[in-house]
Amino acid sequence: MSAGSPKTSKMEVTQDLEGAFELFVEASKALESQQLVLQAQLGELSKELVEANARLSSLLNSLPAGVVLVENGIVIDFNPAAQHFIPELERLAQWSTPKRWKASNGPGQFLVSTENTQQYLQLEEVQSGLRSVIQIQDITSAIANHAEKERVDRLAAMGKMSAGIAHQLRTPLSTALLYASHLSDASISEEQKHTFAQRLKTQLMNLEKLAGNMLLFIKERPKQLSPVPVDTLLNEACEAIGALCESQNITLKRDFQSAGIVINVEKQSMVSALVAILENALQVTQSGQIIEISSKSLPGRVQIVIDDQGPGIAPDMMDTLFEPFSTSRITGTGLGLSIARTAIESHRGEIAVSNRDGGGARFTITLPSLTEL
Amino acid sequence: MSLPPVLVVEDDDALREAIGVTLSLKGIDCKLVDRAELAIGLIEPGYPEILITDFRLPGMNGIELLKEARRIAPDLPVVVMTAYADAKLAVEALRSGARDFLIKPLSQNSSLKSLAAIKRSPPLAPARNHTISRKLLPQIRQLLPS
Repeated sequence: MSAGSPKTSKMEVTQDLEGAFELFVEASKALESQQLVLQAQLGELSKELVEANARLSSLLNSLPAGVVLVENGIVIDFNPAAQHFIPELERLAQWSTPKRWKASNGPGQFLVSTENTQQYLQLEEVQSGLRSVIQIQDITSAIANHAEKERVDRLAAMGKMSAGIAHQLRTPLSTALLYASHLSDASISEEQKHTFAQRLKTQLMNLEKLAGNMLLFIKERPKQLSPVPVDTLLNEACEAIGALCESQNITLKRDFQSAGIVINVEKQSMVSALVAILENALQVTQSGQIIEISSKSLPGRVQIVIDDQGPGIAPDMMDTLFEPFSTSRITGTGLGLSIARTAIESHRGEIAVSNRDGGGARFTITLPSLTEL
Repeated sequence: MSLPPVLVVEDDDALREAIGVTLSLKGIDCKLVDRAELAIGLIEPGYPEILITDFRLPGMNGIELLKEARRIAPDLPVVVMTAYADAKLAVEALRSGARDFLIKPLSQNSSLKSLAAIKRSPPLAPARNHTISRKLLPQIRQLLPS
């Protein structure tokens, strides 16, 4: 094939250029119209974004919970509720909980006290990489409801236990009355009268202990909470029961793995609860046997376990063991474990009982812990 | 050696001993046990002369003991003690053949009167049992069929 003449070639080039130009114009027009479409879409999307932002803002603004967005420890944004809880909150400032917030029961719970008011706050943090969302909620009424429910439950239990009270009061009272009636009997020797007076006194002391325990049982939830190391509570409870264990040749073995763990408690109430459970263990333990009290730290909680080598809990007693006067034992007031449960639950803790594989009962107490020291 | 004529079943150590002391001071010998099951092992036709039992006992309760005791010895006078001022319980005890129903706190007088009445009188129909606690009598009358 021979090459075309230069004239033909120039004409062809011109035609090609014209074709290309037409294509360019067409493509430009297409691009222009596409750009218009994209611009329109961008406008729409921007509008939607603004609307979504507005919706999100109004949602955050109307939330009763405070929300703070923190990035790398710096406050990036927050809603008005967050500012209500922390008036001094500022963007780009370092995030920290205010010093006036005192740690309360349970992880993330704080008590904010002013002269006339007390407010309980719950702080929850959701972390995603360096960014975290902190949520602050007012749980004062939830705590009040919890206290009210506890009071109602206790009153209901008091009603249920009236039959038990009758038994617990009238049995020592019968003994006391029988001995009292002999004191005025002229035919009885002075020595016998002395013995009967002693027995009468013992029964009256039992009645006094029962009355004291009943008052403890109906007591309101603890109000004087203070941070106490778990080991202090455990050691005080062990010391309270130590002499009794020794006199009965029972070994009280301690295995505390909770050094440095602090819980917010009414100290005496919690020590009494632990002593009541140890006393219960003591009553079923024989000379030469061991009662073991151990503790360990769990995330946000501390667990205390009391093991005995007694006969264990009868299956029909399992469900009612912590109810007032559910005891099948002859000794004791029948209120010790009920008081212990009331004290533990009022500290937002839990108590459970089980029978151990090797025999004996296990009481497991879980309490919310504060931060480690 | 024969067993004392009165058998007492009470799980509370102190009260059981106090009942024993009270009765022995009045010249009444008694055998004291803390569980119904132990009493069952001792009861036979003709023994004891009187059975006094608490209602609330570990294991078998006082009414169950009463029924079993009356099966072994149908004429045995049984007195049931309880801390519950419960008319239904009293009726159940009396219907099951109890001769008296004593409400705690027991006094020396009420306990001895009850025993004296039982020793004096032949078995009575429950509704005519005059030693029943006065407090419970009106309620019991309402519950009993006329």
